[in-house]
Amino acid sequence: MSGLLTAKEKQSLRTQQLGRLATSGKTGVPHVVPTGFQLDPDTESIKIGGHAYRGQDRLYIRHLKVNPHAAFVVDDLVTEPTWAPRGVTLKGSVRIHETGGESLGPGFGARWIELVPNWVASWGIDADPFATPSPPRKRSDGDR
Amino acid sequence: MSFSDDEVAFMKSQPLARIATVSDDRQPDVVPVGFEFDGTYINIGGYQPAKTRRHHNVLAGNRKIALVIDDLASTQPWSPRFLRVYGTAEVVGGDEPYLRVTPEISWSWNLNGAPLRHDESFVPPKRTVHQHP
Repeated sequence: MSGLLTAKEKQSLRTQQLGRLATSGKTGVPHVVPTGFQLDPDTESIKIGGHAYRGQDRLYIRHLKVNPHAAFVVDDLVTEPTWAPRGVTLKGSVRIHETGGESLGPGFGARWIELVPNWVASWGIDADPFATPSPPRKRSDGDR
Repeated sequence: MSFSDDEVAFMKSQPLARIATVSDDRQPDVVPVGFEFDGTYINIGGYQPAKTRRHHNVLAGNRKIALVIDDLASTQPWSPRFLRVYGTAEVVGGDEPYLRVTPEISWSWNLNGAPLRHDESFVPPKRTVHQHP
């Protein structure tokens, strides 16, 4: 399988500490949470764990159980010397894993989620932040 | 009820929000945006907004949105904080359309930027149901 992410996008995803995860349940009301994450550079999936003390049945998990589609954006804003937004958005389906999440952070529980991107767009990473945006790169799930 | 003084101050201090919308096929979208709270609405413009997925989703009738304004007050120690808003959006304007979000429910957490403690001392977010005349 060929990847969707460029080398610079992978580098950016390795250095950023926070992303924002959007989910939606049955009713079509979206939800969004800031969260830490790890990029698996081989599979290009985004791995997100969660603190055990918050419980591991938070709203985004309940959403993903009924609607596995999610979007994740990792971005920041460089303001010096000039204002320069940059970021990566990934969309795809999420798998919920019930074991192994403890390794993703201190105090994390066993459950973790894996976003497998089939849609990627970025700005300000491979190109000037104010260049015309390049179209998103997509992969049908049948290509995996 | 509306936003508290510390929530308004936090909004004014932050350059970006991340807004989530949903399309007809229930695929969420999330994007960083600049925003302005005018005392009643949260207004969101942007670059060529009419071409964006968020405008398409709202114009298609999927008017429920979620947005989160958050940062790390410190990374050492790790001190996250956020204000999340659920609301209803409408597209306003002609040539330069923008999203006008009516806040409905908001949650704020740790706006004073205290270090995160990895234990049972977690305090739930402060929830506010917004009333509009």
